[in-house]
Amino acid sequence: MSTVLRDQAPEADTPEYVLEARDVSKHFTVRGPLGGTTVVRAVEDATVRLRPGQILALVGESGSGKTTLARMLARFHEPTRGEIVLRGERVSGNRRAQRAYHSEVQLIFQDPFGSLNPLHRVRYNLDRALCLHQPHLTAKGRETRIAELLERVSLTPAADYTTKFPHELSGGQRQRVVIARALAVEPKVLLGDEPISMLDVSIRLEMLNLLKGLRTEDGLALLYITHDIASARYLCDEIAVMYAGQMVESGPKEDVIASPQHPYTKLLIESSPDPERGVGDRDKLFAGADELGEPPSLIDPPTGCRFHPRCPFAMPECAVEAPPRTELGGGHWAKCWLHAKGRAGELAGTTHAAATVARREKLQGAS
Amino acid sequence: MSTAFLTSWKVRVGLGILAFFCLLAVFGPWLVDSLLGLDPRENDTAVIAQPPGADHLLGTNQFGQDVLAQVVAGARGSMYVGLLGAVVGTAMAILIGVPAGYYGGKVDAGLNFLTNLFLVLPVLPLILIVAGYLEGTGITTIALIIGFFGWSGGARTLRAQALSIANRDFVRAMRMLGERGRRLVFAEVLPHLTGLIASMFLHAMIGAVMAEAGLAFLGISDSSAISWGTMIQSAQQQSAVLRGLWWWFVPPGLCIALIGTACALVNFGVDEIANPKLRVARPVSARRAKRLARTGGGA
Repeated sequence: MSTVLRDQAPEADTPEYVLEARDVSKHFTVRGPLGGTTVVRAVEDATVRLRPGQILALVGESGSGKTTLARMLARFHEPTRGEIVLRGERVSGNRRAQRAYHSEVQLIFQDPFGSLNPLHRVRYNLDRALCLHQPHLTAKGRETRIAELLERVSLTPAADYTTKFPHELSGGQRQRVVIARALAVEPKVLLGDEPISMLDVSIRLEMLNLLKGLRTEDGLALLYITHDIASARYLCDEIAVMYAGQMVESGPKEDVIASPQHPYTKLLIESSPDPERGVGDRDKLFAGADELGEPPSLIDPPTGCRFHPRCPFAMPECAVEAPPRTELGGGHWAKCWLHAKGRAGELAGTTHAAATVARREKLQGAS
Repeated sequence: MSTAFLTSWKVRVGLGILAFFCLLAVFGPWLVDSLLGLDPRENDTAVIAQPPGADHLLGTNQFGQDVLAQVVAGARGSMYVGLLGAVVGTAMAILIGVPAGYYGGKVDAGLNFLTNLFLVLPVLPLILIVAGYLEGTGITTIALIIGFFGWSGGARTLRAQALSIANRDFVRAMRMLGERGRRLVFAEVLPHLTGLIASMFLHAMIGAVMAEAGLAFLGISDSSAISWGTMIQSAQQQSAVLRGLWWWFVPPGLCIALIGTACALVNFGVDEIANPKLRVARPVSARRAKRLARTGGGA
């Protein structure tokens, strides 16, 4: 990994990163009923960099370590290895540093029903945030600021919402309150841990537009975690794809979505529904869909490339050694043996499902 | 929440009885003194062991003391012990159970050890020994002892609840906001436990009233103080049961039972709030549903 960093060094200096996770790993030790311990490698050697005014989408299926990575960035978990860097300074673990850190980085939870205390009114939540982070404000100043914040997240008229309890609000309104509470801190970075996945489809777009507005108007850096590649495409500037705790591909959104350079990214993109896709293609497209396999165990991950048991393009070396990182230009990179072996062209020519079917037939023919 | 709580008849009756006894405890002795001119301690040798009558509404005891005046004075003593014991017990349960559940780790290990220790202590014999050791003490000491030895079960329950709430997202969110530990415990976690605490408090109150009566009955109490327990104890000593002086021991016993019933009734109401499955349909809604079903069936 260190070589990779060195490769990147000249490039990394030019843009101003506000928050970085450098090669962070998180291992959880799980104690079994008989006293034995197993280690869950939730995240391994992941690197995330956030620039002001930029949205990075972190995409991956459930259990790929997205949330763990977000929680490390929110300092809920201390990384097992690697470091979190805020404005070029490594953050330390003590409590005062943590409070200072949280005045710059705020996390928006996935579940707006769980992240507001049902016993506190909207006003209380915002008021506490202001009391803690804007101590110079008077009670009156806080009151006006609360109204501003609620207007910022389009909860208008603000006076109607300040005295409401969470159960009197809809899911979308609650998530807006959660965002307003995070904004009260005046952070530089927002981490959204699947902020729209618990919301009705009808209000997701408003939410995405709100996040987009925060990026363009307030210059916030945003980490947008999702498993929904369509919303990532709508919202973000860059995409990073995670699989089984590791980053497998990253780059500008159009490059990644238009020409995925890792079989897993391809699988993800093809499995998201696309209304423009013809009905006729469907059977062909999903012919192999039921044998796409499942994410591997993080306790005992596959050797070599973690995707190789599911990969239709797998080669012998995939099972042995982890693939190197290949730079594809324009900040786009992927970790796949196909690039090292000069077979990258195969990716563009087929779909994941078709490749799976072809591989099965080939294997059957061989046996 | 508060209005929903009051619609249950159980809660209303229970609160009514409790309010009655509280008022009795506060104003009763003064009323008895000024209106009836009775002193619970006064020995009137002219009327010994009289059954209830016009002069003495609840009769007199072996010592010529008025039973009504004693019951009213006893209400003050017993309610005082009940409330103080419950306050001390519940406060200790909160102060030990909630931080144990919230902070976890070493704090939890220490506090939980303490709780377990008190949980397995044989409380009643211990109270007997301590109360015997602190001889000649007033009713306040008895209340404090009862509270001090009666918090462990509640602390255990609160710890379990706090443990689950401390890991919810809203507590995490407020911690991330920079909220400090003590405020997180008392403003975020504790309000979720109010139902549980209210029910624990009522339970502790019955327990303390009963424990005081039990201790007094066993002779461990301030003999000069008047409580329902001391009344029953002196009735027992003078073989009131054998001699058929029922008006001497029935009123205080009935009062204890009434307080217990009242607390239990309020507790049912609290339970219904905490667990909506226990809720029964209110008569109004039940009638409306029936009417709708009838008209719906006819149409």
